[in-house]
Amino acid sequence: MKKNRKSFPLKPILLLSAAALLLLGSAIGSARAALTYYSENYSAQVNMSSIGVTLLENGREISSRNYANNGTWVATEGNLLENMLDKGSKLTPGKKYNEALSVKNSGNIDIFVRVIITKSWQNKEGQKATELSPELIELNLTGNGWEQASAPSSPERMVLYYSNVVASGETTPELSDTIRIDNKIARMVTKNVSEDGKTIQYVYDYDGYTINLDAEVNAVQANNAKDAIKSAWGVDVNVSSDATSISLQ
Amino acid sequence: MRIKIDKKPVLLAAAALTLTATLTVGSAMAYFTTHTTAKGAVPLNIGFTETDIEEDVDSEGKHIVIKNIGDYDCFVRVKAFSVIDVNYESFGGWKDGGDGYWYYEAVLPAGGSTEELLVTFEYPKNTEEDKTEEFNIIVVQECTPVVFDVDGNAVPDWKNGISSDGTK
Repeated sequence: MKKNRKSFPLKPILLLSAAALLLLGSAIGSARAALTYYSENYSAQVNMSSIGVTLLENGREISSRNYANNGTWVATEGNLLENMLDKGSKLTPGKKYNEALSVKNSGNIDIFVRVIITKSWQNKEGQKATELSPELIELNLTGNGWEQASAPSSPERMVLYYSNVVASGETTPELSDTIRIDNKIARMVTKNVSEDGKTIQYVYDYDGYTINLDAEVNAVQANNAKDAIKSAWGVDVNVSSDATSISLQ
Repeated sequence: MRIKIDKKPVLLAAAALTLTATLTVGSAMAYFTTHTTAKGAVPLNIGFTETDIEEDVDSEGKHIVIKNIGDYDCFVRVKAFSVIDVNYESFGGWKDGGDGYWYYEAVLPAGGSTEELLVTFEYPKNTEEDKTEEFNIIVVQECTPVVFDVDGNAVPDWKNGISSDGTK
């Protein structure tokens, strides 16, 4: 009886083997790269892998988010405007109050940062008061290396990019110095005349309303900044030849 | 002579290459980023204050002191009306505005009182009968909230003045 021998095609087997070898090779490559990466990471962790950022208000740390290790983060969140008024005093239209916002690199790698500021009004019921313009809340910007993006910015929302790289431990110049409520709000009044006509009284229309200020700080690695910023923030920037500054396109 | 190519291994090889390429893309997108946020809110507690006028009349004239009896700081001014001529004498802090009003220059804090402003008068000297007639001197006092100009200076806003009067 003749044995039915199955013939194996040599070519496909060779091709498959080559593909498997390629895959294996790439896997080994990755594994080796990963091994090297983690090894360096481990030995120089303090200097290389920790990104962190802290928001400061009038020199006081308000909130932060720093990479610790093993995928864990240490975050704090405080409140803005807490010390804006002296004890017992009231918010007075027109008066300037200190509101110096800056950003500290609290990680161990160089970073580029941006800050998104949102201003709004809230009525007595706690709802957003859209009838009052956010422009009446004047956050005085200093310039000082901070560039305001024109496209996504509005009277309610400002996006500010710090143009220079922020080294580990360094703090940016202040992006703002004061906050002030426009005097116009003091003229938005209702007039009441007493029955005898001898006394005229006015009532402020927006007494009891609340000003809200939100700040969001974003940080991204300075290394390979153009791609990193595009990936993280979706923004095209020009990076200087020495990679120490950026400018919006 | 035609070489027959088996499709399966080619497809497998292509899949392997694609997988390898995907691995590369994945690592290129891993950038270090972080973010932090903070919020704050302050209530706008603004209001008009209330002032009271204290008047004493004696032989010297009418002694006027304005008291801030409300909860908010303010600026004050006064004006006297009468059928006879009156003059003003400041005991500190008052200044003639040139518009008929005398202005208390400093901010009058909640609970505070102004310095004295004396309104003097002279009876007409025509006849003895004139001296026996009674004259009213009406003092109108106005207060207005303290606002701040762009330079941070406390200034009055007389468009929003609150007025009341005293007659003696």
